[in-house]
Amino acid sequence: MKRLYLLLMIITILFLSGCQSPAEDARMIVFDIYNTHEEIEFDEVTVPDDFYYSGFASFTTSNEDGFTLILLKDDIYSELLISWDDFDGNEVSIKSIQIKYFDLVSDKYFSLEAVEEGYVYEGMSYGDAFKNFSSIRIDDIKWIIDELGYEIQ
Amino acid sequence: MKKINLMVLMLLSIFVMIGCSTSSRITSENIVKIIDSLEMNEVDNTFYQELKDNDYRGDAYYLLGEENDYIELTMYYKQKYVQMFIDFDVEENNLFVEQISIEYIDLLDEIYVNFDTSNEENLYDMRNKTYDEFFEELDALTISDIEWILTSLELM
Repeated sequence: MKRLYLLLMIITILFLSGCQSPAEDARMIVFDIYNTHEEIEFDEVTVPDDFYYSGFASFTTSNEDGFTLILLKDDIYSELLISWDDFDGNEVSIKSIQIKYFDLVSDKYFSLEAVEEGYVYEGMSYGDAFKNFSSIRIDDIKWIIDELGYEIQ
Repeated sequence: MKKINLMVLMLLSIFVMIGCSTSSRITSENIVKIIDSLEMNEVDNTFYQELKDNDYRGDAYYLLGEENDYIELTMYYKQKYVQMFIDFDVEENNLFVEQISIEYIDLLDEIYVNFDTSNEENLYDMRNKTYDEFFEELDALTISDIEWILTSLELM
């Protein structure tokens, strides 16, 4: 019986680590992309007092030109915008990347953009890229911003 | 006693449902009126090949806006994607609609409708309705309401 519990625990741990990996991989890739760019444009402006919002979103659109992820949960609205050049089998060339982050309670708007410097990621097909980047959530966006050394608040 | 509670709960649910559906129908009718009063431009109901190459994933139902300036509604559910954009103008404390555009994509049935309306000389008067009230009304809209609007306008 004890062995059965042990086996179940191992399966659960493996399952949970398996569940977490796509988002963790994806946020590491995004972090790497930012790190390869020498210049990151950082903009911070105040959200207007009369800004309205409602609803929820965890939504991705993507095609051969690029990728858009929109996240709206509770009081945080965020966009991840990636522009890629082309996919050559298992290789993607990323032209630009931008994170927009709204904290709608503290009225902060935050934009982090890296452009012009190409980033080639080997071993990633279009399907992998779509799946990976789609798995990113608001906590991952916060993690990326934090790791890059920018403060949201 | 249990039966009475159940009856009251059922009646309340029915009233709430009737209230909700009536409000979204009135909003839909209002939008048709606004679009009718403005000029319709660039109606495009062909389904682009490139849209087939777009991948969509997730769910979305959200409104963003700035008071007396604009409202943007995005909905994506079960392979149907809707984006509606409304531009406002305020003159002498009255709210006017300057422009409405709707993009509707049904990925399963390959329907694509995209149009926008604007008429700078004849803005649509919201007749004392505030931005706040209209935002709340739009919050009740569903993809079915947008389909009803497009059907009423004979666009699909």
